[in-house]
Amino acid sequence: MQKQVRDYTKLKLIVLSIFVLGLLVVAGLASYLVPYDPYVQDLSNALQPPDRIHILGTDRYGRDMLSRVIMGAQTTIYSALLLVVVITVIGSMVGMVCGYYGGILDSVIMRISDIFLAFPGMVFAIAVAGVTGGGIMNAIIALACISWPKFARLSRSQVIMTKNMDYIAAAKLAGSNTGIIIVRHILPNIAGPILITAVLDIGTMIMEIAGLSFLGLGAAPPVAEWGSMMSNGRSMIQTAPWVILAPGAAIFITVVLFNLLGDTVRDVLDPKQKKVNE
Amino acid sequence: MEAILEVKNLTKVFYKNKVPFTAVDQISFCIKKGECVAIVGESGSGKTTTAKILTQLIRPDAGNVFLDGTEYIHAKGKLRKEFYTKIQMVFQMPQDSFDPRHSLGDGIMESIRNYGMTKKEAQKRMIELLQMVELAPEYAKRYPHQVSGGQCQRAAIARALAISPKLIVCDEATSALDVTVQAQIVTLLKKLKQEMGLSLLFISHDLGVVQNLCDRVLVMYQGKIVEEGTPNCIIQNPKENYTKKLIESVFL
Repeated sequence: MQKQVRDYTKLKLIVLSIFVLGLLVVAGLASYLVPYDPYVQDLSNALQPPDRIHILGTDRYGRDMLSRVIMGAQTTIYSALLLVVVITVIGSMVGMVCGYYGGILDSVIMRISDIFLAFPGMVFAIAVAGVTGGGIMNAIIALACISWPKFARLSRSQVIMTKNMDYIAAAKLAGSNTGIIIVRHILPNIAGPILITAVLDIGTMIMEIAGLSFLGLGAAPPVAEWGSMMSNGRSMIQTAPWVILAPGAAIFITVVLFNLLGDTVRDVLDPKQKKVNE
Repeated sequence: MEAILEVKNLTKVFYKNKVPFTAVDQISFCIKKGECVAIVGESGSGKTTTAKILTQLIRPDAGNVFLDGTEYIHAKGKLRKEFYTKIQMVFQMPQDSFDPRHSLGDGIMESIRNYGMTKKEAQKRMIELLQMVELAPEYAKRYPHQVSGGQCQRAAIARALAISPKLIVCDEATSALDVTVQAQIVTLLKKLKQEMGLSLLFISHDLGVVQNLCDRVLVMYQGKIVEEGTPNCIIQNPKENYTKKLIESVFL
């Protein structure tokens, strides 16, 4: 029985990984896969409903929606991945140093992260993006500023739990220096929860990047980005709903896929946590 | 005989909510080469704190520790590394003392590799060590959760022996094991002590085990050493009230 559950979880992980990998490949090869140039305007063909030539219709400049959704996948997914990688690496490194050494450095950095955590994240990101100006890179920086404390807190608490274990004492007695202890003993033992949080965060970050772009603070036109595409189409929701439905559905499907993957990664890496949640 | 470990006026105070609590109170003792000394006492009597100070896992507030004639407390870098070639420790919970993500073999080899042996030499030495503690070579590939407590403790002893230390501190090394396994580990320690001329500091609350293994016993109570003598002498003729109580609780 137990084994069947395990096997089922593994199967789920494999299937979801294939879907997500497919998504990443499509996003990566977007410029080769698009049926039409997503940036060429054809005003005589504007706002065509979905048909055989334009499967998802065209927007108000006559650009093919399918091509723009595929192209937008590249912008949105890869910026979200970059963002998650940046905050995971920076956040966990800061957290690990704080947790391991403690002391004044720890107190100072943790108070700073408290400030970031206490501030409404999106508002802060809007402010930062507003100051630095538009552009997807600035949106990533703005979101990175507000999102790293979560990982710092998580890895700090994990390190504090781990550093008092007997096997860390044993490593000290084996003559290992602090660097070896952190990299060889602490990091592998706390990587699980951090990885789970990172994967679960991809979906959130996709939404936040799309959100900033929707507000005009992320990707600047004409760059194809799901959030800004929805923003451009929102005035036509009644006359040409496909313009907003296509990128909306893309965001929905992608976020659901990444969240399911995150949940499954958690179930595989940390079965205990699953029991608590259910 | 020459002393391998000399402890003078060792003191450690912990603060809990700013209230001082003296865990180890000015204790002094010494261990001679090849001798096995036991520290016994109830939980909270300062035994483990003493062990941790001796292995430099925590710092004392006062006092000196001479290991093989050299003062190592506050040693850093190279000196600290040299310190750990002379003293090693076996922990109470064998499974917790091995990194769950490393095989037992890797755990044993860590110190050997840190002291500059190549991977091949280290592997050879590791197999030798496993033989010494009567474990089959295939245990090198197992992970801590895949072996029994007794087997894991044998591996922990192998790890402690890896760089041929002069003194091994056993912090409740047999307490988490069941009685028959306890006896096996004690026999193994006895054998190793005789064969290698090892000195042992055996921390325990189990007077039965201590009587079987040790040459001398220190009784600790509330951070102080209250009585000292040979195991037989202390068990048959305890002077302090606390020792009497401790003995009564063991030999009901």
